[in-house]
Amino acid sequence: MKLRVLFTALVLHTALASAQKLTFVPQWTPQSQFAGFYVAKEKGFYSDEGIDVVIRHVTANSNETPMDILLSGGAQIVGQQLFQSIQHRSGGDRIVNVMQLTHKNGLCCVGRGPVASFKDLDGKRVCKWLIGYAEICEMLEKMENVNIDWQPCFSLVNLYVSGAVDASLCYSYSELLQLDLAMGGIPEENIIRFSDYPTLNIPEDGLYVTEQYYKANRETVEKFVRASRRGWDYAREHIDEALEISWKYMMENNIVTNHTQERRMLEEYLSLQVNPRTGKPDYAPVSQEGFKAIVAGMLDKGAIQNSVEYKDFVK
Amino acid sequence: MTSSKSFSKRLSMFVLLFTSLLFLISIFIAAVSSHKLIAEEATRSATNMLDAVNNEVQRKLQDIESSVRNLSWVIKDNLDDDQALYHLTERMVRENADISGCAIAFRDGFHEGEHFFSPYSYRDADTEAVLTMQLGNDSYDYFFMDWYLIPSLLKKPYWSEPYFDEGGGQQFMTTYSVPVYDADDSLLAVVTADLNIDWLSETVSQIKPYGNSHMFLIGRNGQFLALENMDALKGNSIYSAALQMGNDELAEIGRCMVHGEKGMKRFMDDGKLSFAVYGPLDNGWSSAITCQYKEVLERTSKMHLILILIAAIGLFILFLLCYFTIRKLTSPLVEFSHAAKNIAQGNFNTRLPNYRYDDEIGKLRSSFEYMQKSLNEYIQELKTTTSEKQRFESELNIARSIQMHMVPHTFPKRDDLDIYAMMQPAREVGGDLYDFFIKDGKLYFAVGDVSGKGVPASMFMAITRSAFRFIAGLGLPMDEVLSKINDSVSDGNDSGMFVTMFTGCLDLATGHVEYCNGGHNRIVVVTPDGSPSFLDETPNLAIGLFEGFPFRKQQLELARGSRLVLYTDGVTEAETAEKSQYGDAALLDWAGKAAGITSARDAAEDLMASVRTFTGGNEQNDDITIMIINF
Repeated sequence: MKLRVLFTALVLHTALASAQKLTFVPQWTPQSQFAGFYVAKEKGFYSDEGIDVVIRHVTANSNETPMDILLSGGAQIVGQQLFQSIQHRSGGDRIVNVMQLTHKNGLCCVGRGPVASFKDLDGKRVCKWLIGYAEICEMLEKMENVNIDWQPCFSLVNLYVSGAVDASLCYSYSELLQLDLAMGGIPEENIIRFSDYPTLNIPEDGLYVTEQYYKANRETVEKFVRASRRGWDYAREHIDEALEISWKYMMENNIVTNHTQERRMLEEYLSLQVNPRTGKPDYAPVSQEGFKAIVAGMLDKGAIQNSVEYKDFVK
Repeated sequence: MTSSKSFSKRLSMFVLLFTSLLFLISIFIAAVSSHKLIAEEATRSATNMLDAVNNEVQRKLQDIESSVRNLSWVIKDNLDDDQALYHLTERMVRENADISGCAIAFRDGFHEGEHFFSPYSYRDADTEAVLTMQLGNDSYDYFFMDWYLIPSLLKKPYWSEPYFDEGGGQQFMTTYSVPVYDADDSLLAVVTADLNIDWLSETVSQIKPYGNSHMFLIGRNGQFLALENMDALKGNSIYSAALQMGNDELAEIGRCMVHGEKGMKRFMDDGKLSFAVYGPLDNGWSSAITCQYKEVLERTSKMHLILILIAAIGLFILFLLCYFTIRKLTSPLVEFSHAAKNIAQGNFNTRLPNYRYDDEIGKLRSSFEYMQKSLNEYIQELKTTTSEKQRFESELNIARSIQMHMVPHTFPKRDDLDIYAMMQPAREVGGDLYDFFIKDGKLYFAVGDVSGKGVPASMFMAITRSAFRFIAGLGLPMDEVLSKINDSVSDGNDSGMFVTMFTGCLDLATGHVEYCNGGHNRIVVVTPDGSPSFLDETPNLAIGLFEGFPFRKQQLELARGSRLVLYTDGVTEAETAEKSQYGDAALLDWAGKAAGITSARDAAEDLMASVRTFTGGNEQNDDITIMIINF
């Protein structure tokens, strides 16, 4: 009997000790764009996999990106766009893609008036985020042979509303919705969508870990990915609950937002998860051919100097 | 179907309905007009309130704008003295209670080799102490903050969109920024003042024209700046709130406000029809006051309700008044009705109700009175007439009896003669006659028909019959008999009446017949073998037309077993309802068929039955006389 009690205690101790702690940093401050991760955390999907996940966010007025945090060891897994991640890998940062969240590019350019193409923005002042996007902007200028006066800033929306810029870069699931709510509607003729340009329609959000961490903790990463997918599946089926859970994270971080904005954001984001090949949402990695085309395009437009191999990058 | 309601009730109901309708229309028009006026007044009042608050807010904003502009001028004199610049920001915050922070954010490289230089002072939210520091570092790159970037790009002062200050005591803030340029027109710095706008929510929450009224301010991006329950809508724009509520009208109001318009619009607030007055502030913000029409019109609606209540009571009283007044006024009509019923039942002397006014009812009473009098007279007259008629009828009956007794009713029973006669007057008394008598073995007989009917004809018939009996009894030839009768009745015949008459004398022993026809129908002779024929006659005038007319007689030899059928025109001119007459042919036909009827009486009755069968019950229009002589 005493032996059995001792054995049970030993198993329990081992299980607790093996619940590996993991810090995850999404791309931005709390918002419903990350609902699937909040759901996985709050519904205990991570715990079910035996991992203890801490979700940490960047701050709005900080220059520090999730990739900076990952590379400095402040997090084990981060959310990042494919374009920037390829740039990092090409630049020598040994990171790998362990999950792809979206299949479509959500970037847009919103003019203060009608804009038929990027050529209409030639010589115009267009605001963009302070951090990142420099290369994709350059790539766009080369591709369309235009010269745009890019204005980096923290708040695209306020800059646009104030009239200080002619157009603004934005995401269809974020700033575009904010602008829509701020201006009382944005006509579709004022919007250029990157997804309409094959070279620019680069899938966006994915999960990234360092190659070193992946090799050492592959099982843990797979557990995180599995639980996160479960979280997203649940969020898709229970949008109201997912929004409620996300709202809690936003309020804890004093995010000034509103329910309408967050609902529209989640709905738009879930639409980006629909695989154009199947018409159904999935988390399939970027195809090898697609990846090669993206890298070739980035090399061609000078967004990267060194090629990135699919098998090294996509896990 | 007739209503059982009384006249007074129906008239009162009609008056009530009509008055109610008029009243309702009046109330409706008054309500619509007053509601419109009050709604317009409420809109004016709300607009005035809005303008007052906007002015107050603008005054405060203008104070800050002036302070920042003054500071922007002063810094140019202190560019070489960092401490003085720090001091200026510190003094700005300390001397302006509304300013919670102040910065002079210099351009990149203002100090050679330094990226950031921005003296900044702020009021500590807990201790109220004014603290000073250098703003800007790698994690707070102010060059890309709205308050620096936007005025720099716009090259003009700028009120930032409201933001939640996480570091400054969880306050809702806005920043006023003025770009400052150096001599060569390059951006030197951006001078700012932070304004806590929590007080705005306090200010607007006090503006409540009505219980459920709201005032709110929104920024250029539609975000709520100030609202009574700001916490509930923090982070919302007017559009997001409108979308969440599914309220397109509110979204349209937001669009007008963001575009800096001033005006009024209706919308549904929580399911209640409301209006919002809105107007812009100089810095691009916009404010609005919403009011629910139900509340605006509450007092008027109450007043209308009271008015309707008073009217309802008034109408009820009016109904009662009408009802009882009309009932009183029309009560004589009821009495008249009873009186009329009594009169109709024969009580012609029923007392009519008293009525002293000479109005319609008074006239009705006079008419009633006249009617009653007339009825009385008429009834009296009727009684007299009836009495006279009864008397006359009685006399006629007597006359009929006399007339009927004037003709023989006893018929001789002899072997050599069977005679029977019958007379059926069309009225009580008739103008036909028949007579016969036997004297010295001879049968004297006559059948006549006086022109006209009734009493005068019966009188003439009586005279003629008496004359026949007397004159024929003298044993004179038949032409003389008729001549004398003619002379006798023509004398003094002023009435112009006449009589057709057939007279004859049958020698019962020989069958010799002497006869004379004074304008009468031809008689029928039926021979022993049963063959009927009209007797050949020499025409003579009727008796009574011309005195001294020479009548001519004729003679006939009757074989034993012959039959004479005498009649008046009541037989041959008997009519059916279709005016078809019995006629001579039918008579001859009957005579042939009736030859086998041996009894004179039976034959006479059979002829009468034949005539009645022919007329089919049609009213007898002439006297009928039949005489059958079987020789």
